[in-house]
Amino acid sequence: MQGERLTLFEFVSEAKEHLANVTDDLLALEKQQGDAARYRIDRLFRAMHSVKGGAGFFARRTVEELAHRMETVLGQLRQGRLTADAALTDALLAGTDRIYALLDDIERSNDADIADVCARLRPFLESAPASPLGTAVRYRLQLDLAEHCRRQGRTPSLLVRALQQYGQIIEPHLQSPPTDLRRGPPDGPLLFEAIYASNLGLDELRAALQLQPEQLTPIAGESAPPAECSVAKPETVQPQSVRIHLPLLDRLMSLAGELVLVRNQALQSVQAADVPLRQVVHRLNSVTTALQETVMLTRMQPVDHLFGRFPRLVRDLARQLDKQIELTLDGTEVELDKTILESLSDPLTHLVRNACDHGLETSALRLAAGKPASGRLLLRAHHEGGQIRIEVRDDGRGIDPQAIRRKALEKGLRTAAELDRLSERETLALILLPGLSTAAAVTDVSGRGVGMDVVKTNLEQLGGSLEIESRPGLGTAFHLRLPLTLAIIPCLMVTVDGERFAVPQKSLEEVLCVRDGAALRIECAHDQEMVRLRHRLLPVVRLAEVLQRRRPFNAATRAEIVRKHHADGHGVQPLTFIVVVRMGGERCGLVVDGILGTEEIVVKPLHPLLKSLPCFSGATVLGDGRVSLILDVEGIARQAGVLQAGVLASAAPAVAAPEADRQAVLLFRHGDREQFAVPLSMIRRIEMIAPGQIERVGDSEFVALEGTPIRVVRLEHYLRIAPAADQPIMFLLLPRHLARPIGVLITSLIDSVTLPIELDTDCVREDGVLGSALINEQITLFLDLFRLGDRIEQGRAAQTAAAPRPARQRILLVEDTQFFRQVVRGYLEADGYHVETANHGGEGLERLAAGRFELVISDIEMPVMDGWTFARAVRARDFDVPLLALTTLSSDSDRARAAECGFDRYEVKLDREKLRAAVAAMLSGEEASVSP
Amino acid sequence: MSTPSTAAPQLFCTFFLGAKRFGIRVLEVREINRETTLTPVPHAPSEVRGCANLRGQVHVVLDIAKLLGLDGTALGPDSRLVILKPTVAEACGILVESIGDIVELDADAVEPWRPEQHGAQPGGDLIAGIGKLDDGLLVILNASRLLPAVDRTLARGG
Repeated sequence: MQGERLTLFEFVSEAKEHLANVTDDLLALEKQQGDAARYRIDRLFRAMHSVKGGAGFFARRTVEELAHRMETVLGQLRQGRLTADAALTDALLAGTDRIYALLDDIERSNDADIADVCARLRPFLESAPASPLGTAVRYRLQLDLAEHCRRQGRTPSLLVRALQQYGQIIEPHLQSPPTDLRRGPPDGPLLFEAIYASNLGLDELRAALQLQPEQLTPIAGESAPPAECSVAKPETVQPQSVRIHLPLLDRLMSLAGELVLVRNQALQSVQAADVPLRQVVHRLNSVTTALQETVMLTRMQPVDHLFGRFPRLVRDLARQLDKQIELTLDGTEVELDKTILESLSDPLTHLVRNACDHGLETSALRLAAGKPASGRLLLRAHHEGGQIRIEVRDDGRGIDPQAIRRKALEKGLRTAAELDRLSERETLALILLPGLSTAAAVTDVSGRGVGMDVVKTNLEQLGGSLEIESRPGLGTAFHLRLPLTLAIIPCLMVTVDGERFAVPQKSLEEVLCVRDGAALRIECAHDQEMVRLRHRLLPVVRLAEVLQRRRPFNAATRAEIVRKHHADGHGVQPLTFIVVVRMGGERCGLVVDGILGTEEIVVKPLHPLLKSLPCFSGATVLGDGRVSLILDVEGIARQAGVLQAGVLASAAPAVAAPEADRQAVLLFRHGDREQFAVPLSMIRRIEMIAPGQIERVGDSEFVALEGTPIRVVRLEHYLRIAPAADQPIMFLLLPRHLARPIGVLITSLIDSVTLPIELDTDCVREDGVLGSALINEQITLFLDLFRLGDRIEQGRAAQTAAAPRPARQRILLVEDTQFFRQVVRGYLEADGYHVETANHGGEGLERLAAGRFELVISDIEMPVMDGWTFARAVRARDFDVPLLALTTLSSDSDRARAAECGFDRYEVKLDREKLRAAVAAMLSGEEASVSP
Repeated sequence: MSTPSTAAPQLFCTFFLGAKRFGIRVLEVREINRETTLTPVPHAPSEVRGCANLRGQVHVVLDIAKLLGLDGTALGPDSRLVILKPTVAEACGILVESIGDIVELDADAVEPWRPEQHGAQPGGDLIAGIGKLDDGLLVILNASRLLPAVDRTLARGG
C-alpha cells in the first residue's frame, strides 16, 4: 500500500513536471504562429501524451480522459486544422488547470467531475475536419439506423454528417429486410454497416457520435491511433537536474551542520605537535566548509519559479479586464532561498494583480493620455548589497497623493498638520496603513490599497521591506527588498543565568555597558526600569526575570522586580550589559549577564510542541554541539509589557530645535581642560590602546592595528591646547574617508550625544578646528579631521586630489543644516573656491537668479523646498549650471530619482575626497552621470 | 496499539526511574544516547526537560517522571536519552535515570491497564499495560501518547 502510494506520488510529481512548461508554451503559441510554434506544439503534445500514459497506467480515469482530449485538440493544432486563438488557448489552459487540480488530489481524482472542462474542449474536437486516411484507424460500424434515429432523435443524414466530420465512411452497406411497400415506408430494422476510418480513439468516437459500444468496434490488426505521428524534434537539452525530496535536502543540511561540529571538535583536540594529523584535520576543515556552502546552495532557487506564473496571470487578467498588458520579466535567473520564494508568492501576486487591475488603464484611456495602447508591466529581480531587490513597475495612471491625503484625513488616520509635514514618499507610504486599505479607498486612490498592509506585513516577516514610488499619470513602482536566505542569520550571542541565547542582528541596535559609578544607570519610573540613553528614556527589561516567569508581567510582578533590584537605591550590579533592540518603531533594552560576540547561526525551527512560546523564534546548534534558543525580542517586550509602555519612552524631553539640525557627535577629552567633539558619522572605529603600543619612527609615532601601521596624531602638536599626559589606557579615534589612515590619540571618552548644534566659527579660530559650540555648558571644540589629516600629510593630499585651483570659481551650496553647511563650505574654501550658501531650495533659486555660479551643490532633504523640487525648478528655468546632489540618501532608487530630477552627479555627504574629485571634475566640464 | 494482541512475543526496552521499572516497545525506540547535556527551555511546561542536538536536529526532551506524576527525573552518571522513532513522536526523546535490559514478553504475560481499576491517576493514560516478569512487574508505556500529553498541559496554560 505504502509502496503503491509512493509510486503514485512519483507519477504526480512527474506529471507536474511534464505540465510545467505547458502554460508557457500555450501562452507563447497564442503569440507566435507557423514554424516557430511547431516546436512548442510538439512539446505540448508530448507532455499531454505522457500524462495520459501515466494516468492510464495508474487507472486515473479522469486525468487520462482530460489529457486525451487535450492531446487530440493539440493534434488538430499540429496538423494545422485549428489555430491557437484566444478561445482555444483559454480552453486548453482551463484543461491544464483542471489536470493540476486532479493531480493535487490524486486519490480522489476518479470521482471528480470533469464534464465542464470537456464541454469547453468539445467545440475544438468537433470542428476538426476529417483527417486524411493515411494516419487514420479503421473501425467496423454496425447499427440499426431506424432504431438509432428513434433513440437519438436525429435523422440519418445528421448521423452521416457527424460521421463525415470525424472520419471517412468506407464501403457503406444498407440492408433492409424485404417489406411490403404498399403498407407504407419500412419500419423494421434498417441495418447500416460500414468500415469507418478516423484518427480519433474508440471511446471518443463513441462519445462524439453517441454510439453504443457494440455499434462501433475496432477491426482486429488495426492499432490505436499513433500518438506522435509526425517526427518530433528530439530534445536537444538533457535536463541537468534531478528531483530531490525536500525533507532529504533539509536532512542533508543538518548533517552538513553536524559535520561542522565534528570538525570543530577535531580541531580542538588535535595536538599542535602532531603535524601529519593536523594537516588531515585542516583538509577536513576546508572540505567541510565547502560542503556546507554547497549544501546551502541547494536551497536556492531561481526567481523564475516565482515569476513563471505571472505571464498566465497577467494574460488572464488582461482578458478579463479587457486591457492590453505587456509583461516583461527580468532577472529570472537570480536565486533566492526556497522558503523566501514560497512566502513571496502571495504578496507579489497581490502587487501584480493590483497593477493590472488598478494601475494600468484601458487602451482607450491610454491612447487618450498619449501613451501606447498596451500597458507595460515590469517584474525585475536583482542582487544589491547582499539582498535581493524585486521591482514591480507599471506605466499606468500612478497614485494621486492628494487622494491619499484626503482619504487619510477622512478616516482620521492623520491630521491635516501631520499630512502637511509629510514628504511625497511618506504620503505614498500611507497606503500601507491598515485603515487605508479598504475597498472604499480603492475608487478614490486609483485602487491601490487593498490589503497592502498585509503585503507589507508579509514582507516584514521575511525580514524584507517595501517602498513605493509613483508619479501621477506616469506609473507606479513597488520596490521589495529581501534577504538572500533565512537559513543563516547573524546573531549576537548573550548569556543569561549561564545559558546562551541568540539575538538576531536585524533587531539589534547597540549594546550598552553599565558600570557602577558610570554616568549611565538604570532608574525607575514608577514600576518600569529605564535608562537615559542620549537624553531619551529607554525602557529596560531584565531578561532573566522574563525567562523565569511563564506569565506575562502584571503590576505585581513589575513591582516585585523593581523592589528586588532597587532595594539599595541605585539598582546597578557591578557590571551590566544592556542590549538595545528595536521592534517596529519601538525600542527597549534587554539586561543580560554577558555578551559572547556575534555569530552566524543556522536557524532551526522549534519543536512543534514549543512553537506557542512567545519569547523564542527558533533554535540553533552552536559550535560545541549544544542547542541555543533564538530570542523573539517582540515577544519578550510584549511579555514584559513594555510595548505598551512605549508611550512613556517617546515622551522624551521636548526638543526645541527641529530634527534636521540635530547632530550625532562623539564627545571626548584630551588632557584635563578641553572638551572636543567629532561628528559620529566621520568615525570609523575607536580603539583602546596602551601608550606602550605606540612606536616611534623618526619624529612620527605609529600604532600597528590589524597589520597596518596607523599614524598617531597628538592633538597638542597641531592645536594650541594643553599637552596631555599619557594614561595607562588611552583611545585612538580612527576617522572615515581619509586618504591615509591616522589615529587621533585622546585620553578619555565622554559620551555620544545627539544635539542641536550651532557652530560658532569666530570664537575659536584654529587650523584644524571647524568651530566651537556649547555642549553641557562647556565650550567644545569641533575637530576638522580632514584638515588635520592634510596638515599631517602636508603636500600629499594636494597631489593626490589633482584639483586645479582656478581663480575663484563660484559655487552655490544649498544646505539646511548649519553644521554641514559649515563643514562643506570649509572643504570647498580650502580648495580655493568662492562659496555662497542658501538654506533651502527656495533661497537657492533666488541666489541663482541674482548671480552667476559655475556649480550648484544641493542637499536633498530640506524644509520649504527640497532638493528634488529645487533641481526640477532649476532645470525648468533653464539655468545652465551643473547640479551636484550631496546627501545621506544612498539607495539606487534615490540615484535614479536624482537623475530624473536633473542632477548631474550624486555624492554622499562627508566623503571629502570624493566630493573634491566630483567638484573638480564637474567644474572642468567632465561628463558624469548619476546612475550607479 | 495499546495492548499487544498478537500471540508473538514482543521486545521491550526497559528503564528505571528510582526503583520503578518501565518499558517501551523496542519498535518504538530509535536509539539510546549517552549525551545528556540539555538546553532548558524557559516558559515550557515542566514536563519538557529541554532541547538536545542529535546529529543536527533539535530534539525536545521530556521528563518522563513528571509526566507520570512522580518527582522529576534525576540526572546522574547513568542517565540516558531514549530517542523515539519519528513515527511515534517527532524529534522527541525522554530522559531516564538508567537503562535496563531488553526483555521479551509473550502476549499473555502482558495485562492491559484498566484505568477504572486504578482511579484517575496522573499519567494513567500513558500506561499501555503491565508486564509480568519473573523478577517483578514492568509498567509498559504508550510512547505515542507522550507528546499529546505535554501538548494538553501547554494548552491548559502550563
